Amino acid sequence: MSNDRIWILLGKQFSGEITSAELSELEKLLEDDPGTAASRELAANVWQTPLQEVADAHNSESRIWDAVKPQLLPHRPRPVLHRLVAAAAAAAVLAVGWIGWQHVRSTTPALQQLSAAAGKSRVTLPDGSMVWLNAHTQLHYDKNSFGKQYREITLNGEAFFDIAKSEGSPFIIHAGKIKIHVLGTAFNVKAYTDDSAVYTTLVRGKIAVSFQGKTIVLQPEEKLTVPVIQQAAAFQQQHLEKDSSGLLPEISWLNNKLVFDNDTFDHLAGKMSQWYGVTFHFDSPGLQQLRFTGIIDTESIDEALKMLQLSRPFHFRINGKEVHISN
Amino acid sequence: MHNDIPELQKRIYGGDTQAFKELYDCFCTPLLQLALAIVHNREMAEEIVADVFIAVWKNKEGLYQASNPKWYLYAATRNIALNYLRKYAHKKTLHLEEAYLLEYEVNPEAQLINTEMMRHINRAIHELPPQCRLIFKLVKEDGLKYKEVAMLLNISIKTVENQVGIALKKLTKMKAFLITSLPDAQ
Repeated sequence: MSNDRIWILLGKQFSGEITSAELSELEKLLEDDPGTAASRELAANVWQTPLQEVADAHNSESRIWDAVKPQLLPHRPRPVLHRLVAAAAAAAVLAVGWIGWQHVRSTTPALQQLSAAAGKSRVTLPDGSMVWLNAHTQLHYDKNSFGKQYREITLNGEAFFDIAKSEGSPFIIHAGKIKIHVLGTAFNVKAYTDDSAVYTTLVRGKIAVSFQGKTIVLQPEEKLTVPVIQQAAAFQQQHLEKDSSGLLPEISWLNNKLVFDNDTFDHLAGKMSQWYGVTFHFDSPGLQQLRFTGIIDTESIDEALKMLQLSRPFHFRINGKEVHISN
Repeated sequence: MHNDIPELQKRIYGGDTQAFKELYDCFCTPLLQLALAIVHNREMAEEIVADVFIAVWKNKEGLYQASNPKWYLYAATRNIALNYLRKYAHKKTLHLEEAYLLEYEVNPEAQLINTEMMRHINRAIHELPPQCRLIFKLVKEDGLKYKEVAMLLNISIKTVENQVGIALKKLTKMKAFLITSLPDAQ
């Protein structure tokens, strides 16, 4: 029997990519294979031995430097230059447009509901603020009072906000049990009714999040998680790392990308259900514990699942809006 | 690898050419190897790496704001190399392939300073298939994440896992063999 799986897992262990499930898998495999287990230390040794770069017999390094060096001086005409596109947070390019808001002179409450069912949509509020709604999200506000003293809306689901500045008319979002106060700013709120917490991620500007009499001020690139279930305010405030594309994972849905990083299949299925508007059924609970890392971009659900199959073995069957996962 | 890249980013942003040279010394060879693996032609790979560093200098802010500067440089090299390929694809000739193979020639002088063991291990590394060797080097030596290597080379994470496993297995086997056959081996 091939022991390639052991070597794959050893590589993941040495490079620090291994998950805890894989680590126990590795220990188990090594127990059953004392021959390879004996080489484990040797393999670690190989990993720690620096690779020797072949000496630069071609003098490439100095030749390249000769080409680069003259360009360091100011005011030199540059040669054919391929412009690097700096990775910028998606929000940075979102322009905030101000659209004059005409007061509606009616006094009866008029509930305006905006929603995105299976897909995603972008809406412009009466004050010019723009909101990107993720799938299965509803947003409502009172057409009559919105923009008078407050700009108040209620969110159920996930949305990215780019709020127009308006002195003297604070923007307030009600999401689950939290309340978010905004001036001019861009941020993401995830508050689906079946989520276990409300997640607020600030991209730029400044917001204050209130819940149970507490107020937390978020700095850019910070995410606040407020659990829905616990009575105690066991909230979590964290600074976020941008991923390798220079984006915050929290707003990746805006760019039509579904990003998952060592997520369980169960968790991923939850994301994919929203993404594709389907329901997942697992034949065995073990399948739900498989972990995946990757990005789903414009793939169909069929392509996405096939992509996932490359890294973990499972079968799937798509029947309309139902997806069955089996061993 | 330089251990204080953020410091370099800051100094380069301030126009410090010495810091830029330090960055160059760190990354020139690994980026050249990546470019070579993509375009298979040394002259073109050298041009690509020069373009990368010139672009980085001209757009210091881009580097300064990059949260993962290493990835920024590798991704820039990949992108520029692919642009070159698109532009010069018609110029590909047979002798370019030969030039590519020469890259794997072992330099005897560089080996003398090393132990017998390292010499053999290095030879074993050079005997790995080029793709496998590159993936192993990017992960182990350059410290890139599997996901990053997959994105750079447009392969699946699964392939990265497999290739790292294959390289590790072959090199460990080679080392085990050497330990039993070379009395002076460390």
